[in-house]
Order: sequence, then C-alpha cells, then structure tokens
Amino acid sequence: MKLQPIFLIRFRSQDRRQDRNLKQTILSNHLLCLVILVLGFVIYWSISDSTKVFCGVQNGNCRFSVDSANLNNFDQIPYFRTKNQVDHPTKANLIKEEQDKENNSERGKSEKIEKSKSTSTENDLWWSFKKLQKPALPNLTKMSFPSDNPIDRFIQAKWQEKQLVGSPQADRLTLIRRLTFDLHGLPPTPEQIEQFLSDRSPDAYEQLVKRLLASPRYGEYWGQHWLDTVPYADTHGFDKDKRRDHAWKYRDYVIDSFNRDKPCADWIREQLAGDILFPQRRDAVIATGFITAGPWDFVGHVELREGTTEKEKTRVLDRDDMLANTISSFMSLTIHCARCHDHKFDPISQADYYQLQSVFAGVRRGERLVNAPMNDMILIRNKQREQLLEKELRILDQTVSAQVAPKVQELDKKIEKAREQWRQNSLFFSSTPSNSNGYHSLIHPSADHSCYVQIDLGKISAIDWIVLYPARPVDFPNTPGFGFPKRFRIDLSNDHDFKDSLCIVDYSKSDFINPQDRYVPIAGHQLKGRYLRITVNRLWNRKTSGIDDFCFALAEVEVLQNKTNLAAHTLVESSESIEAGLWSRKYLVDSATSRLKLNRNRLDNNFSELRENEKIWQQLHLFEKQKQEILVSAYDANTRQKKEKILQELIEIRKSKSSNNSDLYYGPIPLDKPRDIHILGRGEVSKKKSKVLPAGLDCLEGLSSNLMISDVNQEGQRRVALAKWISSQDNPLTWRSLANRVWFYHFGKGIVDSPNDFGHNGALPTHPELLDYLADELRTTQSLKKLHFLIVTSHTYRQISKNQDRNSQIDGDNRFLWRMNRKRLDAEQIRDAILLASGKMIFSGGGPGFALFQFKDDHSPTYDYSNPQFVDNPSTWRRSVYRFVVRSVTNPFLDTLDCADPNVSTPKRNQTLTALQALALLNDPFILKQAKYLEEKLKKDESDLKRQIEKLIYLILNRKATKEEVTELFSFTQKNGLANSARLLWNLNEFLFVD
Amino acid sequence: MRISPISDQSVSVPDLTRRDLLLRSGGGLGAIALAWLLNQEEGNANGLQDKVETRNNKQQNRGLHHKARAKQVVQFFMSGAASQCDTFDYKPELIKNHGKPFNPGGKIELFQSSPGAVMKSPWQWKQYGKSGKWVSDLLPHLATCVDDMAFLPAMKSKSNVHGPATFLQATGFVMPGFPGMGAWVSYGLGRLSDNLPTFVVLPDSRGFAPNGPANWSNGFLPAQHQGTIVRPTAKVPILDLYPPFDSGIDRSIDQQTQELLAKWNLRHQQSREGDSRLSARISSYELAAKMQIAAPEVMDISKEPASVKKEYGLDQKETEEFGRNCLITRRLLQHGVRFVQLWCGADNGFPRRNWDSHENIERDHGIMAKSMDQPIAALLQDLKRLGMLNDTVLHWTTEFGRMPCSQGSLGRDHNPDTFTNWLAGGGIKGGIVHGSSDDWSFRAEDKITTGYDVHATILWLLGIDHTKLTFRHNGIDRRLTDVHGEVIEELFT
Repeated sequence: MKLQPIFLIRFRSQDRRQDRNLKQTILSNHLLCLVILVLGFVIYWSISDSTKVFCGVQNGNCRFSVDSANLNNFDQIPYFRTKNQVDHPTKANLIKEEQDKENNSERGKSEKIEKSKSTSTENDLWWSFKKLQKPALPNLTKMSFPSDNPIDRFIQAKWQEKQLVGSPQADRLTLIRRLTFDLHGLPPTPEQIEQFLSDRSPDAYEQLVKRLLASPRYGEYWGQHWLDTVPYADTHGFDKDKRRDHAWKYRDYVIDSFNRDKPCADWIREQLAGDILFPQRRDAVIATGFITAGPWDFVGHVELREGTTEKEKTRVLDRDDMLANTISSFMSLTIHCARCHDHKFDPISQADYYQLQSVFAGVRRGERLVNAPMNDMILIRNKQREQLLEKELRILDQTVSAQVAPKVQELDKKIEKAREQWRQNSLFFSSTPSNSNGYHSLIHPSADHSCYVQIDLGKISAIDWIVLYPARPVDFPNTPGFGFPKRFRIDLSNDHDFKDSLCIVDYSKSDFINPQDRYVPIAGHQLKGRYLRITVNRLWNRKTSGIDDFCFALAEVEVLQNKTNLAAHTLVESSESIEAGLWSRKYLVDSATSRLKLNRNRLDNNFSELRENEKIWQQLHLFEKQKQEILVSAYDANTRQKKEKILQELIEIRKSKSSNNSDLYYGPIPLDKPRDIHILGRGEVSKKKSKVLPAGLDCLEGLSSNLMISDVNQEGQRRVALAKWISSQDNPLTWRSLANRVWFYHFGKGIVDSPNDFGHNGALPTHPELLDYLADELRTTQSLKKLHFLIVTSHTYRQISKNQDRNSQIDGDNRFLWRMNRKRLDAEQIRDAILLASGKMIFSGGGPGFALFQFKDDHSPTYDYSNPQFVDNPSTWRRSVYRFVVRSVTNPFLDTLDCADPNVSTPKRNQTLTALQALALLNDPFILKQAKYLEEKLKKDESDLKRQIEKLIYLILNRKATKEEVTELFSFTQKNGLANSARLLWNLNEFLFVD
Repeated sequence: MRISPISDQSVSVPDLTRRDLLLRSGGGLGAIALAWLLNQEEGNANGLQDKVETRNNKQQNRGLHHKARAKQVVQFFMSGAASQCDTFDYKPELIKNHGKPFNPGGKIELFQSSPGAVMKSPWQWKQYGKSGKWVSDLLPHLATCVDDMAFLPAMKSKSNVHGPATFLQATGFVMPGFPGMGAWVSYGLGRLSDNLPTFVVLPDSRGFAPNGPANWSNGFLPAQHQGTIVRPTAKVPILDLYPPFDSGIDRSIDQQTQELLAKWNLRHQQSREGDSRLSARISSYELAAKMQIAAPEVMDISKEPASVKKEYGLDQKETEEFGRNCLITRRLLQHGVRFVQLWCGADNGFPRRNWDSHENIERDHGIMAKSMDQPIAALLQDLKRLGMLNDTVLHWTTEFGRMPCSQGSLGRDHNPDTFTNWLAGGGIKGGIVHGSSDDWSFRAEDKITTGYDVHATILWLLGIDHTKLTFRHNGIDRRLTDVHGEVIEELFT
C-alpha cells in the first residue's frame, strides 16, 4: 500500500472549540490520518497564532490551505514528501482568502508569486513546469511479461515497486473488439474479425493496428475527442441560439488532421494562426475555427448597444472563452482562474492572464471567407489604403467646398427650415400601439442591391395618394427612418409582372433624403392600376455593431382613394423578405406603423396636409440636389480629375472586399486594430487598471515569457507568436498534455487523471517518467499515429481486464494498470455501433451536419427533437460526429448516454448508469427503428431462424453465440420477432462494455 | 466522482474523494466499491449515510451539513423578466410623477432604448394580510398569500441580457455549461423516491425559455442529476418512458425482455466479478420498470376532486395549462421528487410568449400573470392544507426586473438593478420584506441580495452549506454559488 503523507497540526488559534472540532474531524473522518498516525509519521507544524491550517488528502497528494495574512512566513513552513511524490505545498498551494482587504491581499499575492518565481529552484518547481527531458528506461532485471516496448518497462517497474502482479494478454477476439472500438469508435465487422482470427503471421496484431490507423474511421473517432475538448458545436448557444452553418469546416479539418497524421506542432499552429502563417492553404485557414468554436452570446454581441458596460462585459467573457480554450486544450492549465484574482494554486498572476488575453484582443467571431485570408496582408493594406483615400477625399472636399461656402450655407439654412416645416404630423395616428413593425428585406453586404415589394389592390383603381411610413422598430436599436431606401421608384401596373407600367416617382438615380419619423406623401394624380410596386436599388445602412450591412424596410404603405386605404390588408408580394418576429410582408398593409395604429378618419377631405408635406419634401430634395450641384461645380478640371481618381480606386477596393462570398467558414475576424486590454480588478470592467500587451507565462522552465511579436499592432502577429510559443519544443506542458490525452482515451484513465489541469490543483502523474517518455516521443516524432501504435502494441494495453483480488486490495482503482480497464461505450459509439449492425450506416465523410431535430428559424430559433421522423431519416444514418450539434437544446438520447455538453470543455466524460439510460436504450425510437432494419437485413441474408439468431449475436456482441444462448433467444424470437431480440441485445452489459 | 467533504463545518477539505478514503482505509474492496456505485446511482454526495429515503422515514430532515428545515423545492421561473414595479414593489413616487421625465440621478443604461417618462403601473395597489404587504391588482390570488411569503425586493443581477441573466439565476453562472440548482440539490441530497427522477422540469408549453434546456442541465455533474422534462399535455410526456405506440411492443414483450436481459446480464457478470458497474446497470433496469409504473400515476389527475381542479384554475382557459403543471407539481412532491422547476414563459419571440414586455406591459404582463397567479396561490394553499408546506421551499424568481420609466409609450425595458423574488414554506418566515429598492424601484438600495444569496439560502434550508457542496471540474472546485453567496438568515423562522 502506498503510504500517504500524514500530518498532525498544532493549533494555537484563539478559538478552542474550533481546534477541537478540527482535530475531531481529522481523527474521526480521515481514517487515513489515523492509520498513518499509527505508522508513526508525525510532523509538527508550528506557525503563527492567527493562522488556521486546513489539510486534506487528494489523489495521494496532500493539500494544505492556510488562512492567514502572514504571508512572509510561508517559506519557513516545513513540509513533508514521500518518496516518488512531488508536491509543492509551500507556495502556490496556500489559499489566501481574498475577501478582505482586497488591495492588500492583491499586493500580497503578487509578492507571493514574485517570490515563488524568483526563488524557484529545480527542486521545488512544480512537476509539469519542469523542462521536458527524455527519461532513462527503468532498469529491470526480470520482467514478468517480457517485452521490448518501453511502456511495459515503466509499467512493470511500478508493479514491482507496488508488489502488483500483471495480467496475461487477452485473446484475439477480445483484442479486436477493444482495439476497433478504441481506434474507430465502432465494433469490428465480421470480415475484420475473420481476417484477424485467421491471420497466423507473428505480427498479425501489429498489422491489424496499422490497418485500423490507416482507415478514415480513425479520424472520425479521435476527432470527436478533440471536439469535446474544444468544445465544438454548430450553434452559438445562449438565448437566441442561432445556427453556425459553416462551422462544420473546422470539424472536418480536425477529423482530416487526425487521419493525415498532421505533425503536431503544425496542427497547433494552424489552429491558432493558420490564416496568417499559411494563408495559401485552405485547411490551415479553416483550422482557426478552433479559436471561435466555443459559445457566443448573440444578444450581447449583436443586439446590445455599442458603448454600454454590458457590451464590454460580453467582450471580456468572449476573449476569456478563447483564451481558456486555448490554454486548457493545449497546455492543460486553468488560466481562467486568474481572471478575477491571482491564481490560487498556480503561479499565474492576473497580469499574466490579461497579457495572454490580449493575444485575442484583435479578433471577433463571425463568418469569414476561406480564401480572403489568403490575401489578409493585402486586406490590411487595402484597409489602410481605403482609410487614406477617404481622408484625402475629405480634405479635398473641404478645400473645394470652402470656395462655395456662402452659397452652401444659404442652402443649409433653407434645408433646415424645410425640415422643420415638414413636421412629424400626428394627423394619421391614433394612440393605440402597434404590435408589428412592417416589411423587411434580407440583409445584404453591399448597398447596391435591387429588390422590390408590391401590393395587389385587388382591382384596377384610380389613386389619389400613396403614403410611405418609415419604420422605427421597437425590438431593435431604436432608429428613426430604419431601412428607408436611399434609391427607389414606384410604379403602377395592371399586370402582375409589370410588363407594362406607369412610373409614379423615380428616385433610382439620385439619393432620397431619409425622412426619419416623418411620413412621405406622394400624389397619385388619379393614375390607374391594380398593382403598385416599390423597387429599391440602393439599400439603407444598418451599421450594427460597427459592421456595415444593408437592408430595406418600411413600416406601412397606404394607397388612398379619397379617404379609403385601398392597400389595407391586401396581398403583398416581394422579391425577398425576412419574415421573422415583428417583420412580415403582411405587416406592410396592416394599418399600423411600427409604433402606432393609423387613423385615417382625421384626414380632411382635400388632403391639404398631405399636399403641403409633399411640397416640403420635394423642396427639401431640390435644395439637397442644388447643394450637391454647387459642390460639384466648385471642382475645376484638375480637382475633379483628382477626385475621380480617388473615387475610382475606392470603388475597386470596396469591390474586392465584397467579391467571392461563397466559401465561408466560422472563424476569427480581425479587427482593424486590437482593442486595448487592461487588467481588471476582480475581473470587473469598471475597475480598469494598467494596460497590458501580450506575453507568455514566466513560470515554465526553459521557456521565456517573451512572445517575440514582430508587430503588436497587427493582431495576426499576436496569434502567430502565441502559436509558436505553445508549440515550441521547449514548452514543457504542451507535449505532456497531448501525450496524456492520448493515453487517457486508450486506458480510460490518464497518467494525469485531470487532462485539462496539470497545475497544483490537478492530479499528479501516476507514472511521471513514463509520461515524460511519451511526451518526448511525441515531440520528436510529431506523430500521433506513432504514439497510438506504441501504446496499443504494449503488453500493458493487451492485458485482460479481469479483476485480481490480491491486486485490487493494493490498487483498487487500477492506477498502476495491472489489468486493462473495462470501458463503457460512449454515446456516439453506441449510436454508431447500432447503425453499423443494422446495415444502415453510411460512411459519407463530412460536410454540413445532419439534423436530428426539426428546425424553425425565428427571433429565437427552435430545435425540436420530438419528431421521430428526423431520427428515422436516411440522411441521418451517418456517424454521430457529423451531426449538427446544438448548444441550447442538446440531443436528448445522446445526452442521457453521457455525451459531452457542447457548452463546456469536456476532456473526460462522465460515466453514469441510470434508469433513464435504461429507458432510452429500451424505448428510444432510434433503437426500435434500427432493430426493425436489422430484422429486415437478417431475413434477407438468412432464411433459417437459427442462423438469423446466430448472425444477430455475432453482429451485436462480435462473437459466436453459445448453444444455450441460441436456444434461449430462439424461443424469445419465435414469440416476439427478431427486432425485439435486437432490442434486447443492445441493452446487454456485454454490448455496452468492452473487456 | 468527487465529493464534498464530510461533516464538520469548520474544516474544508477541498478534494477528497470518498473512493480514495474507502479504498485506502483498507476495507474489503468489492463491498465498498459496490456500495459506492449504488450510492452514486442514488445521486448522493454525502456518502453512505443518506440511504434511499422515503416519506415515511421520520428522520428525513437530517441534511448534508446541518439539520435541514425543508427537503423539497419548487422553483417558479418567470422567464423574460417579470416587472417588480407592476407586481410587488409598490412606489407612490411613480404614481405621483407619472408622465414626468425620469431622472433618478446617475447613469442610466437601458438595453434597447433611451429612458422614457416615469410610468406608473397600469394596475392599482392594495395592502393585504396581517403584514399589510402592498400587491398590485395584477396578482389578486398571490396577494392573499403574502403572510406566508418572504419578499426580496432588492435583488440585483450582473447582466441585463436575457441569456446570461437567466443562466445566472438558474445555474449561478453567466456562461453556459454549469449545472442547474436542481442538479446541485440532486447531487447533494440524492433522491427521496426510488421510482421517480430527483429533479423534474415543467417547461412552458409554448416552448423553452432563453438558453433552452441548458438552464437545467447537469453540466459537469453526472447525468442522473439533470432535470427530467415532463410535459403533461404533450404526446410524449416523458421521453422514452415507453416504447412508441406504433412499435407494437406491449407489456408482455417488455416483461419477457427484462427477464431474459437480467438472465444474460447475470451470466455475463459471473466471469467478471469485482466490477460493480455491471450490477449497478442491472439494477438500473429494475428502477426503470418502477418508474414506468409510478410516473403515469403521478401525472394522472383524473381522480383529483373537481373542487381541487377548480382551485388550480383547470376550468379556465387562461390558467388551465399552468394550473395543471402546479397540480402535477403537488403530486410529484407527494411522490418524493426533490426539486420541481416550473417555467412560466417561453422564448423572446413574437407575439410575446414570455414576460419580456418591451412594447406593452399591460397587455403582455396581463396575460402572463393571469396564467400563473391563481395556480401558484392554489399550490401554496394546497401544500399548506396538506401539511407539506413546512417541508417544501417555494421560490418565485425571474432573470431581472423592468424599468420604472416607459419604453415606447407602454412598455418597459430591462432593469438588472432591482427586481423581486419571494420565498415561502419550509423554514421561511412569512409576511416579511427583506431589503428595499429606492423610491423609483430603479435601484436596489437597502440589504441588496443576489441570486447567489438566494441559492445559498435555499441550500441552507435543505441542510447544505453552499460553500461545501463542491465538484472538481477542469481544475476548479465548482459550487452553485461560485465564490459568492451569503445565507439570508433574516428570512428564517
């Protein structure tokens, strides 16, 4: 039995009762302490009076926490270590209660960290921060299971030390089932089993491993592990959980990288900065989907107004997500703990945290062109050029217009007067609020887009007035004149398709003024027609969250004949429409603007106000036009030429920006300039402290914290630097982290059993030298497939999973791998194995995810899994990794089977055995339908019931049936049919567990 | 699985697993590990001391860290943000200054709009009960229960955005991926009944609230702690409880399947002794069978007397849906469900189907309030009559409040700076008001409370110290209350 550290604590606290309680607790509950007490390991601790010490044991690792203001004494606290145990209780383990005296404690903590960094010697450096060096192989005189595999030497050395006895190799049938589920996430097919069992060559097993690693099924399963960690999904999450329709390209990239055995350092670099480092490679660009894979709050980022505190909070949390994912996925550190205060356990200060966060200060999430980044440098240059040209243009305009200033000023006065006259008239409005907005086109990346909306008056009618009401939506940033078109025309026709038409107004060549909250009356002059069409050829700029995008919207259109509105509740058609929430074609004619219901009765009979207002806006338009003309006339040939040249170039640049918008992916979009990042007191945006620039951590041995960024003003260079720093051969964490993940999935238990945390609060390695050996292998070979091969060909991996009482008394958790761990299938393994057995599985590779739900787009989109048609659709009979993953509403079937929650990094899945799981496997429509298909398949393949049953067992349990089983299942099947037998077998422990 | 420390309150041992403890104390492995796993199945964070409890067991209120005052919880979540100044937070200033410019001093930051004029509630206010608590005419039924309720009118939220704020009230974090309060309670206390889930969620029949089921997920806790969705009027009220109708699988087939399944599983287990997961899985099928029998019984309200149904409002269209959910809640509690969460309000779509009344408070709050007022009051009275209120905490909440000024002309924008919660039942002093907002119902002013405090308080009533109910995830000992939360002792009897 491994001896644990033991400690007796002497208290001199003033509170005697507390002392007594503490001692009692230790004695009565921590049997461990008692046991070891008897063994005689006693340590005395003597520390200052005001200090309370908490102690406990975790994963064979003693923990102390001290509540004290007396930090100076920490280095004097003696501590105790057992053999083979690295612990570091003196500094970072010590909890400093943070509540009181915020400032003092912050200073104290920084001192503590400083101290820990400066006084770090090789000996008290935390194990995972130490330089990674290839360890020597253990010297074993005798191996109980001789093997050339270095893994076995490390493992068997531990057996000897712990007096454990290893287990023999499992039989071939067990091995192929274990190996295929482990490398492919699927059961072996009958053909694969036959091939392996009949292969008499000495390296049959190695050949099997090679075959499995070469198959694309491998990447599909191992990619899922990485996607769990990232965490990946096809929607944003939170409220208004919108789709990310192009996110799948990153998912496919991950799968493909595993299959191609991409060199690990490249793989890491691509995911953080592939768009900058390898802009010419499509896959490397898509790889940056890693940064943006996590959840994102649509409402906070898009709908929330710019300049609010809430917006800033949203952005801090957004960068936190990017950073936390990066550091915990690649380096297994819980850096996000240092957002509000210095890390309680690891030597990571708040400054360290914000420095690293600033790496992502120049990106936002969004849909991005895959091949645009190819020209990212050009893009940036273009952007700078565009800004320069705009500035030149502004200066030119100002200089020129100064010459005509008096004339312009005169006009400006007239314009102002006209605007005042064109008052916001209330004649039309009632006090009844409206519950709809109006019509809204789709949203476009450029203003120059043509679309129309048309009204069917029902019959040919003479028209007195057309009245346009601009929108001012209530469920969107409060904007008067929202969506009012810049250029448009209105036509009238008797023909639905406007083959022959009359033009009423035409502002398609010059910009119309934005009427804001004023309605726009247009005289119809008794012209006749049945259809009225508003054709727009230049859209309004929405400018949401600083991005230019364009649309056309109108709250209401009235077509008056006398005082009757002919358009009310008629049929409205359009070339496009968003049809969502308060926006719909039908709301264009619902006798209500976006604010209030209309009341026509208050119009006078000769429309005097309409006439007056029409005159005013026409005048206004005229003044604006005159002003433009004056301004234009001020240019002489020389300045005009100059201006035209600038405009020409601007048009070119802008055109290149909007071209080629088909190949999108979800990734990081560079901002013009990285935002300033400050240290935030307690993580609150209202407590800004000093500004920081990117830097790495300085607690790692042999790796400088200097990121060596070529130009901090270029956001891409920040990411490049971090990518290089993380993937550096000298980074002690990266290689250990990745090697441990691989080990973890093979054995169901890591060498470090907290794959996302190699810090002081995580688990300690059971085999530190082995981990370093594997990490060094990975660093040298850069090949995950070679690492898999090394692991699965070891004797350690090939052992039987049977329990041995003697061993389990020493090491009940099998931490030292004296047998193989029996593993329960993952949610995806279960679903995929069922599809494979039923013969319905389609191996079609990647592409957009298949939907297991009914989707309805709306203000808040809905994802409904209750319709079984979606489960039973052939388009969904693909590997589970290719499903469309929704964050807000996860798939209930897979969820019940402990599938990873896509909202949070899941390096290690839970394993539960619940009644709801039993019900899901018994009754889910998916299983029952697949059982029917399996029945059909068996009946087609075999005519004899006995043969059908034998084959059924072979397909599900991957072994030959015993006579007894055939007999029992025969009578069951006779009564209930083959589908019910399949259902039964899919509920067996033997199906769900892999020996 | 990590567990929280055992017993003594003055010591915190952050990450000691029961498993470590048991295994290292040298006990017989098989028996202990089996007990451990079966216990895990029971969702019990306190180890071996809390075996499956039943209602008959009189010693049920032992609690995890101290003696419990209650053992069950009902949480009513008004999704979309229910206005405090139209329900429970009476402010004469608003009536006096109605229509005048809103100028409470300081920076005003609204979600969608610029502040409009001061807007009084469209409803009249009256005082009720011995306590004389002011309640608006919007909630005539709940008003009759004020002497049983403890009000928290000085609640504050960290966010004024629905998604994060709803997460905050439901899970204690503004980010997704954290377990709901019901999941924590299930993890901490385990089940009271061995044939129903521990944590049941009744969503609004019109759809999910913002964030969807992520609001009641188990997060990183084991899956048995997740909220089980029950939709009483849906075609499939509980997912996968039975085979679908068209599958042709009847009770006889199910029985034969279970028998043969058990036989084969036992045979499989024989050569694999020492793995308690195998037997735990066998017993999970027994539990499943029990649940198949118990669940429909609980949901069947046909035998409830007509007078009771009427009380819950099942005879009126507006209250029928939520009334049924409340009546079923009572039955779930009677059958030992630990935590029931009822959602009043769906997503933020249009026409409005939750409390997010930006456009018209009178119209939209009117509909929402009507649907829940009578049913919740009926549930409270019913529990009281049955003597169950003493053991059950009722908690009425929402993600944040609404502005005392108008948006548009008739609506109200979001207000994270003050909103109202109330608690009633087990261990809660009735007829009290803890804290207050300013004269405008604009900012919480006195004795400010947060969702963390309410979570800590409810856990305390259940016998749980919120600082000790922890779970290690990705290197952090996670709690429902993050690093915050104060138990509001003033609310206790």
